[in-house]
Amino acid sequence: MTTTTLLLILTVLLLLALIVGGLLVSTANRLDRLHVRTDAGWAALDAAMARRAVVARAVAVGGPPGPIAARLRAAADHAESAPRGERESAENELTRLLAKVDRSALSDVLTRELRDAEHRLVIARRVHNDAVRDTLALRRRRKVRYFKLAGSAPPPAYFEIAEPD
Amino acid sequence: MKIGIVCPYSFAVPGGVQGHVVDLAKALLVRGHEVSVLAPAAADTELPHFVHPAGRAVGVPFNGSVARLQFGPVSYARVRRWILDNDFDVLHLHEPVVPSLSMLALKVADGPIVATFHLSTPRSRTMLGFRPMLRPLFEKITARIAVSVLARRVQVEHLGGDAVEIPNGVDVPFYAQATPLPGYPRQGGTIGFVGRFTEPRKGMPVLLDAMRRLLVDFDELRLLVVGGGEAEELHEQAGPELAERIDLLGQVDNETKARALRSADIYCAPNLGGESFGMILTEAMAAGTPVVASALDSFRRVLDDGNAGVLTPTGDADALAAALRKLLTDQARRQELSAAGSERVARYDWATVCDQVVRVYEAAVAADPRRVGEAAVRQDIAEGES
Repeated sequence: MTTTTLLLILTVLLLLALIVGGLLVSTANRLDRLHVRTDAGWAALDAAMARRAVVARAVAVGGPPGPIAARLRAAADHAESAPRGERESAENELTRLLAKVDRSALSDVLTRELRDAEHRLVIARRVHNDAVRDTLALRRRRKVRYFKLAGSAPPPAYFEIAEPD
Repeated sequence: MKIGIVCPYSFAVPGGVQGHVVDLAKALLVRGHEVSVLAPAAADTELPHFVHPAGRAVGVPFNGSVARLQFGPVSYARVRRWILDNDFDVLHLHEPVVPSLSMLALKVADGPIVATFHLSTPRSRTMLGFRPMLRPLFEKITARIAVSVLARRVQVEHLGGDAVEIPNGVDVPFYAQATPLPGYPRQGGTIGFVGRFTEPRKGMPVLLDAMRRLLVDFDELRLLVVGGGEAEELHEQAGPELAERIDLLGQVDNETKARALRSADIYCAPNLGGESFGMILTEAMAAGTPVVASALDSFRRVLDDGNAGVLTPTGDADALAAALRKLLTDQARRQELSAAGSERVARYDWATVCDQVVRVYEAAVAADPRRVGEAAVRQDIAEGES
């Protein structure tokens, strides 16, 4: 009688452990995929910013010469070399300078190129921040925090810059 | 690029999403991309060559109307086969929030996935209730597109995620080059209206009230109506005097609609609300017809705050009559508005919109450098149980 009960309890416990274990493993997998997605999103965003910096330099060369051209070149260089912590303000500075450029004075090709680079940056930023949002949402869950499923991976950060219109 | 597009609604019934998907696929094909569209359709339906039918759809009441959707093991197998066979660079799902082919594809696939959200009203509380369960699924979306500001707001506030706003496209040359209907353009003034005129939110009564005020001074003025609805009800609403000034074409094909838009001197959209974008306004602008519309948020946006068309207070027949009167008597102003509309509508042309969509595809591929394949679902379960 007692052995049967004991066996039953043991079986139930074992099943429970299996289910919880399975859940945790699948959550860990999900989190891993999200971290991969965030990293790839950052790489794509970085590439979009680099592309805009290149176009900004082309604008500095192809646009009307003057103090703004020199500042544009300097801002593009700074944005590309800025460490992650200063990247947002550096990119914002570049956005601000590009907004000042008189686009009607640029060639059609250059204007199109600039608009294309700006739109790509907007998309890449949203794609990256989406990945960050999903990752952070899962990392905040109790099962992730209690069982340290995120491991040693640092929490991803949103990339906040003003969007050119 | 090799692009797989999933449309959740059956092509057997006309609809906004279906039209959008077909136009997008055509625009992509013109640009040299490879496109396959997966959509619910019975075997005997006439379909464009790029549509891959996924079998008959079932009618499911959703969001206030009956959506013809698809779900179940057979559909699942078909979606899986389609994804495995095609080896897409990017997968583009439309409206994956409703239980449909799109959601199945999201479950099956892995890789760069773009999702377009058309819904602009968070009316489906049921769907929102399932959000926690759907979260792992939505985590697989790489990039999101919203077709309007409102759709994006729903996305941000209710579904948790940002989206790139890309408007619905309109085939500008198709409308711009349509020939007016026989007998048009005519003297005396023609006002155009397109839509299900018996639906209250379309605002037909407001337009009829406004027309009544104009009848005395414009004794040749006519109203050209395109769209489904009870003709008797319309005539009753109009009253005997106004009824004989109405030319009702009923439900017509796209070409006739374009020709009707080209025939009118003024296009009027007296809508009272519930419009998330205002597709018809872009079509009228593409046809070169000056637009008079109620000042709804969405219309205001399409008409560039009144620079590309006349905005009148919503539901105000007096103001509408005054605006129509002014335009009817001022041909120079009509030409001005027509030119402003044509310039404005360029941003909604498929040529422009398609480029923007392709940019999102490329962004998705950059942010997930794999090809679209099958998700390793079974592997997860196996690991979980070991």
